[in-house]
Amino acid sequence: MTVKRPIPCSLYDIQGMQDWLDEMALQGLFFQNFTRRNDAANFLVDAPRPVRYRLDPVGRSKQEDAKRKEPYAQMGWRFADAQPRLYYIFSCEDPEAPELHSDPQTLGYALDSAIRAQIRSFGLMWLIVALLLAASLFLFRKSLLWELLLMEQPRSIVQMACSAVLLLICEIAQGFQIMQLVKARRRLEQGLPMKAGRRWDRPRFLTVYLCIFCPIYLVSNLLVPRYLPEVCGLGERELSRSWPTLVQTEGTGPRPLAEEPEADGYLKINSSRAVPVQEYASIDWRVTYLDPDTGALTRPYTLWTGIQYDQARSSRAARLLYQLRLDAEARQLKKALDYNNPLSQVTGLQPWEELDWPGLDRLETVRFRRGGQDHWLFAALRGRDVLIVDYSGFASLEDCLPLFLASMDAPAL
Amino acid sequence: MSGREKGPLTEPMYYVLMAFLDREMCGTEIGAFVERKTAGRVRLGPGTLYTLLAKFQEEGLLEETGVEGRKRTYQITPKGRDAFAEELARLRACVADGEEETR
Repeated sequence: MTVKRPIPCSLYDIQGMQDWLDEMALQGLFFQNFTRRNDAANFLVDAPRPVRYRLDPVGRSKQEDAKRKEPYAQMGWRFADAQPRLYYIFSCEDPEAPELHSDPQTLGYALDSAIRAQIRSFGLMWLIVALLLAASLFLFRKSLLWELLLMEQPRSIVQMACSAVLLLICEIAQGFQIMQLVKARRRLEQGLPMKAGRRWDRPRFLTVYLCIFCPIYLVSNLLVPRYLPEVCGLGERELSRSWPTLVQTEGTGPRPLAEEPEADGYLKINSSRAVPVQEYASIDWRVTYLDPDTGALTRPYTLWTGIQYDQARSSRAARLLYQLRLDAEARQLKKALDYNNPLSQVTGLQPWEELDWPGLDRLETVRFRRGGQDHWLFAALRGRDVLIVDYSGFASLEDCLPLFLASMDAPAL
Repeated sequence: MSGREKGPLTEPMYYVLMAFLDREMCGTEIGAFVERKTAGRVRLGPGTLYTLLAKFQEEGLLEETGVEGRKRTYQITPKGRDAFAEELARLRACVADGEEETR
């Protein structure tokens, strides 16, 4: 019959492991092997008797190490199990057989290979982590910067940060374990015996998982919202600026409106430490009309304005945000060229134009057609303010731009 | 020629090198030689013995001369003889110093 017992000491504590396995034998539990997760060991239950268990550090190559098993067996030491890149465990029931390692200094030398193997694996792990991190930062730098600036999906940021911290803690803990081996080697080199480390009630892997990982993910799922922006109908929330109405924008063009129509739309409002004001207003007015040629009710033409206004805490943050928003708009327009839906497909996309406009740090514009109607879009940066307006109607960009800039100038509501 | 650059030999190291002075040997023969020579005072564990054989080969003090099945034989190199001679001279000096002081 075999039983499983949690390992009460560090796997890197050579003397501690030897002492524990010897004690278990005196209780009638004879070491068989480690469990898959290395948090426990399997023991064969038999009549208690003294059996010595000794750890033999790994050598330079697995092939050379494998050749040692037979001569060891001839001298009374039977192979039991191994910890990869660390040590082999041998047991001996013959009390007359010499100790596996009868010279502490030679054992110190033998530990060198194990320490080197551990450092190699530790270094490789750091390298992989660093490469993965660098690759992720490079590939997702824009979305990461976007999230850090705007905090639209804070849960993913919190979970990513927690995972990075946990990974770091695991790596540091591994470093400390290797230091334990280095200390043991120093003692052995001086001809001193190794000292057993502290014992503790090792929690099972599942317990560690439940105690560390679950709270992090549960807490973040319960306390940190997945999506932070508030989306509501027009007029349900007050914006920080009073943007031009449809009457005002259309008033600058060839088809002025007599009165303010009842427009549809929505607001998306968010706030973050770097960008305290993030407001998006989508305002549209759909009109169906009789085609003068056919006399039939034809597809609606739309007056539509999408206004994205952000006020960052600093002009540096505003510059970063401006570039991110501009890139996102450009990406979105390019993508929409391939849409199949004629109402959302973009056609006739003109190249972006960079314009000089008094009082603005940057101004870029683009013209295109969507759903059969002319659109223009401008992105403006001034100090800490970023304004992007996407417009479809009859007024021109040059006439509307001053209206929007004047609204941006007006004191906050 | 200097035999060994890494400081004095430990007792097991000294006896392992001594075992090869007259002839080639395999692992089990070395253990038996050391035990006989020291009248059981020094007993080489298999871990110590095979670590030392690997270490001495790496340092060029011993070389493998043959493999018969799983049995491997080794012989001492000139560098190994120098290292042994150096250690012997050091031990002689230690003993002489001690005897001089206790006379």
